[in-house]
Amino acid sequence: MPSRGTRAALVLVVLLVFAAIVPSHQLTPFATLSAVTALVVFNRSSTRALPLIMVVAIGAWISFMTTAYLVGHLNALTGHVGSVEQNVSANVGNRLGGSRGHFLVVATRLGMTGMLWSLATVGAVRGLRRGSIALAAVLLALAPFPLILLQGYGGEMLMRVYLFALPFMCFLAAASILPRSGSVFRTAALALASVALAVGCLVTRYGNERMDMVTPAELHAAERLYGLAPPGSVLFAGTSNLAWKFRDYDRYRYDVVTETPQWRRLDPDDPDIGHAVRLVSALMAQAGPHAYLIITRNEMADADIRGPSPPGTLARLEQALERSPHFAVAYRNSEAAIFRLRAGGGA
Amino acid sequence: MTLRPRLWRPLIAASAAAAVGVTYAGVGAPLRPLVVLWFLAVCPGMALVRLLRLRDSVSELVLAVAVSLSLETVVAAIALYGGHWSPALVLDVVAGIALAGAGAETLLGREGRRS
Repeated sequence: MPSRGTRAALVLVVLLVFAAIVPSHQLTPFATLSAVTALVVFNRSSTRALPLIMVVAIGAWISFMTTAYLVGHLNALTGHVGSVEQNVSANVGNRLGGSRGHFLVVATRLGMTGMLWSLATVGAVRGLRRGSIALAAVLLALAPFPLILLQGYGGEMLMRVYLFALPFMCFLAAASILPRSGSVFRTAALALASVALAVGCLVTRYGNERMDMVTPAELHAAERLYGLAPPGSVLFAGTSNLAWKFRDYDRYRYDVVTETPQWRRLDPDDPDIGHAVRLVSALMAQAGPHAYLIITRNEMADADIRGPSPPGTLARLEQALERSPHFAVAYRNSEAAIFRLRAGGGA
Repeated sequence: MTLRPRLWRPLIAASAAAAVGVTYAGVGAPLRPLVVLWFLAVCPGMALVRLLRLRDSVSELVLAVAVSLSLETVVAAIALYGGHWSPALVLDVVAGIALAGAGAETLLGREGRRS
């Protein structure tokens, strides 16, 4: 047992780490608070004041440092508190779309998650019953789940919950299949689970590689974009899946053509490309004299894989822009093109 | 990382001096990132964690990394909100804290009591 002084110093270390977490990320403080509260409530931590100190730290940060953002976004942050069905739908249901290949990747991810959590449940129940697993590990694995009650987090909350719980889930899952000496069944289960995880990981990690990968040509095009566009320009992209926003972030404005309300009004099954060209022209004309549109290979892959427009839509738009007398190609390489409006080209 | 306890103080001091030195001398890759990353990832936290006299060297190292990264985040955030943020300033402050921690350990004479 550490001395009283050492324990006090270790609490200070925890507070230092928490002080770094609070301004660093908007979600992690709440996950940490949930974990520490679970430990205190179930008597796994003797530092009973820690959750209260953490609440004060979070409250102080929100009250003094984030008011400028909160003034205009309070409803976006608190509007979905308690809407479990809506939050789960944003995290699961809405992701099960796009091409058949993408559906397979997402379904495999969900299946792997379910498999890991099931193994962890078996490991937790068995370990707790035998007394071979500390309750703290189970509490820490479960602690992130209440976050799903707070909000959908842009459809990413379940993924964050998964990541926060992952170290403890892995520990518990390993405990469920770790072979004891002489157990043929456990050894076979370990081998099977390892093969399933190794093969599944290829699909879950690299299944969307066509759109996740950024090639040197695409990166070069993005660098040329910042070379062409003076500060203050409005930069458009076909989808948000590209490498950009890496230079002078506050000196440019950004917009994504396929995420605009105007684009969403196009027929999702068979969008009129001529109309789409006029739409892009109007958007860029409205943005001012310094507006540029970049379309890259991985944007097209993103549009083809995740939709909602049919595959090939963004490629057809790029070809139409290239033919349009209203647009000039400011830069092109094998995997990307940058367009600007010609003088008087606005629709 | 099983390092003889008495070696940590000179290693922390040398690492702080090396990190600041290669930064201000404009030394390029791969030496500069290796030296600075080693220093920032381990040394400031280790200088403070060693004052706790933990018996387990693995716990000591894990805490050292966590404290190092936290300390740098807090220092950088204070510098940022104070309007004085710069990588060199943050490195200077963190190097100062690491040297102060190593110096405090020497002054407190705790080295001899560690096993």
